[in-house]
Amino acid sequence: MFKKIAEKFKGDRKYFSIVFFILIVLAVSGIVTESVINRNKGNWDSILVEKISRLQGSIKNDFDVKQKRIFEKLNIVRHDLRISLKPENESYKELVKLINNESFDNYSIEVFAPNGKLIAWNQTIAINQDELFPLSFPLGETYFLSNDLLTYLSVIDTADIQSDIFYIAISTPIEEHLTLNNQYASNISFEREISEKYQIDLTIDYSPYNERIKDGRKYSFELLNLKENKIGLVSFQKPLLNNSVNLIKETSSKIQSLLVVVGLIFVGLGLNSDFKKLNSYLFRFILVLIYLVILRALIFVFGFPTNFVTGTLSDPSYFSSPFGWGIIKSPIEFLTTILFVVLIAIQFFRYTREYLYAEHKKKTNYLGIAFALFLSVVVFLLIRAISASIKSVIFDSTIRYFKEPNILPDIPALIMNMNILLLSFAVLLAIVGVINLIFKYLNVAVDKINRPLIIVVTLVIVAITSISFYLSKEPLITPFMLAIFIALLILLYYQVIIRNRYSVYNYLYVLLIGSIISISLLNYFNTKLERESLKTTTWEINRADDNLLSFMVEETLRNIQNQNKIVDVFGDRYANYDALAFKIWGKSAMQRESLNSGIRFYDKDKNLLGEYAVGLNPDDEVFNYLSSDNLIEVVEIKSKGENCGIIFRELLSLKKEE
Amino acid sequence: MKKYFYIIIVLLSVSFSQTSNLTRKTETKKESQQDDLIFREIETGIKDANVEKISKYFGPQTYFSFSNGINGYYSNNQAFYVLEDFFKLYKVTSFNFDYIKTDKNHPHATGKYNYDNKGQRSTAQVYISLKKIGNNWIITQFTIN
Repeated sequence: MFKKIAEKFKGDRKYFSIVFFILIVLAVSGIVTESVINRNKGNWDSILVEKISRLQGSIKNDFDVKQKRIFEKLNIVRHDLRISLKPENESYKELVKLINNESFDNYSIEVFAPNGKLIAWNQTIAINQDELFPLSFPLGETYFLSNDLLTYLSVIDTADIQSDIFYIAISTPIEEHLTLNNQYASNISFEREISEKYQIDLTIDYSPYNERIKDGRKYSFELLNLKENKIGLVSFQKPLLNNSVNLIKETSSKIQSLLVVVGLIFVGLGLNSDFKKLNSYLFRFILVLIYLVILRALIFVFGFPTNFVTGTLSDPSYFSSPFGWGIIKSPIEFLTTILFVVLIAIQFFRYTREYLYAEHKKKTNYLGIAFALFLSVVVFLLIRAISASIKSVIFDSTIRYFKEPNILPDIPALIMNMNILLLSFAVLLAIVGVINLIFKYLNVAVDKINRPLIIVVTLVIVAITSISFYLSKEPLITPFMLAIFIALLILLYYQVIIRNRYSVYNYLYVLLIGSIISISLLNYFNTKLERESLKTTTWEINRADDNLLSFMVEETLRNIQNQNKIVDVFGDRYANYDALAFKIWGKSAMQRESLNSGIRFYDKDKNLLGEYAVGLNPDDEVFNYLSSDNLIEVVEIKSKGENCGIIFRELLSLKKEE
Repeated sequence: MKKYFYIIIVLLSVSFSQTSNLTRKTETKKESQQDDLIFREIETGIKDANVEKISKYFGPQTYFSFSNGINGYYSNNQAFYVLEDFFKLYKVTSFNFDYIKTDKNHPHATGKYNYDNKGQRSTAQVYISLKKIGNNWIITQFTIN
């Protein structure tokens, strides 16, 4: 019985059965989606409770992982401390060495003697010896330790050694209170990590004293330590029915589009045996071309892979080109397109090679000669196409291909390098294919190695390519480069078509020559870009005019005004204004754009309370410009006729200080 | 006869200087009207999240500074998709320029960009400045804070 069924699904039938099965799944998925949406709408209240409880559980788990990790480190330090402080090998040096081990890189560890004196520490000290007592939280319980710029997850515990009690404090940064836009900033944020992971609007209060939010649109729950004591509060926006329905629709449409693509691939496989029976190379190639173009177009229309792959690979800020309505609008889209191009090029190369060596001879007529001449121009057009593509790779990208210091470049640069290599590989195969056609149309017996004729035809191709180069308005490359490329192409053609046409290494030779051509083009256009960068430098110098600076300063002030937490600081006697200035500056656009800028706080007697500035050294001249009663005023200070900066004042804040 | 000749010369030179002043004023007015029109078109482009309307004013190197971390110079080809991506992520709910300065040297405009990001509604400030390069106005700075 099973055998009989298996018999029915042999050969091409199995592919069409899969396609049929996919069609059924497609229809079912539509019905299932509708029913899931209706179920969501009908039971939203219970689903909401379930969703919230699941979210709460997941967030608690994530937090517990962090807590457990800190306890693991604590146990290691305690164990090390016991070994190093044994009477027979009492060595503080060893202890310091142990806690400065690489495994503790993300932790601040402090070891206190029984009298409370700090005896060993690593990196930045999170808890000073004068801050140890009174203990903020019971021993052996995690808690949040906040200072002006950072919140740590900390734990203090003891180690009993030879009847002496040593204190170990271990802390790990969990939230940085500012975000810096540079490559060195780690920008640690548990809040952001959770928000991004669960795609929710979430806030965390790192204090055990805050009460739950009473806003009905939000849900709060307590963040407990491993001893079940409250140490913080998490609040997040309750999931909305609309968003949930949209998410279901989006997921369903992604699955359906993926099914259509898979179905189309199986249709192609199913037609493969019939396709192989076709005699005409031209017809075969046209069918391959149509199939692959339709497949790529569908993949693009369904948003594949961009909708499935998030992150740097689908980010157009690394690379994007407007070619083909966006089919290469990001590194991953470029890779997808180029894979299709490579498939087409390989088939073109194979079919033209078979055609060239096919038994039947073509009669050389004027039409054939004209077509061969036209194909010689196509050779130049293909060289120009690869040049234009690599120019776009350099100019429409923010990746600096020759400035990457690492041996292994980062993922976007790696993918782009691979794209360039595949592109040159495909173009070279296409050029070899075009030359095959030229020889065929001119009826040159390449297999009989009719040297004089081959040389003459080659020279004619070289001549037409060179003439096309000189006639082209913008050939993009230099004559020297063209000469080198043509020489390499002739060598390649000789190797892969004339000398050893069926060698398995032929594709490797194409890759090798392709890499030489692509690297030289990459280098050439990169040099051009660096020359062009002088223009960008001029733009950059003139960009920050007084309008932009006023806008940024005003924006920063308005943000301060809207944040009650910051305004409240002005009532605090012990406020650290330097840290506050740094935090405000860190969140401002001035920081993001790396402008010389700073923030200063003065009290009512014009005494400086605190500041943070980069590249500026303002004096008290600022007060000469304060005259009106405006809430915010942006004033430009001119010094010796030159614009030296923008000052601001915030009367609301100053009033709080009074 | 000579007297009339001098009078005519003086009158002609006065009228010429007046005409040239008037032409200059008209040109300045025209330019500022043009700035205003461009800003209005950009405003509609942002309001409809239609990058095509804005992209025709991208220069060879446009500076973007967006709150999602996009910061730097982008070629006009790249700028198109960078902005399109931003509009997809931060879906505009309303936008208006609340201040437009049509200045010959530094025309710029600021406005409020109300958006929806995964169900979260918020507001950002927009700053756009233009520059005349040859006969074309191009966006030199596009900030969304």
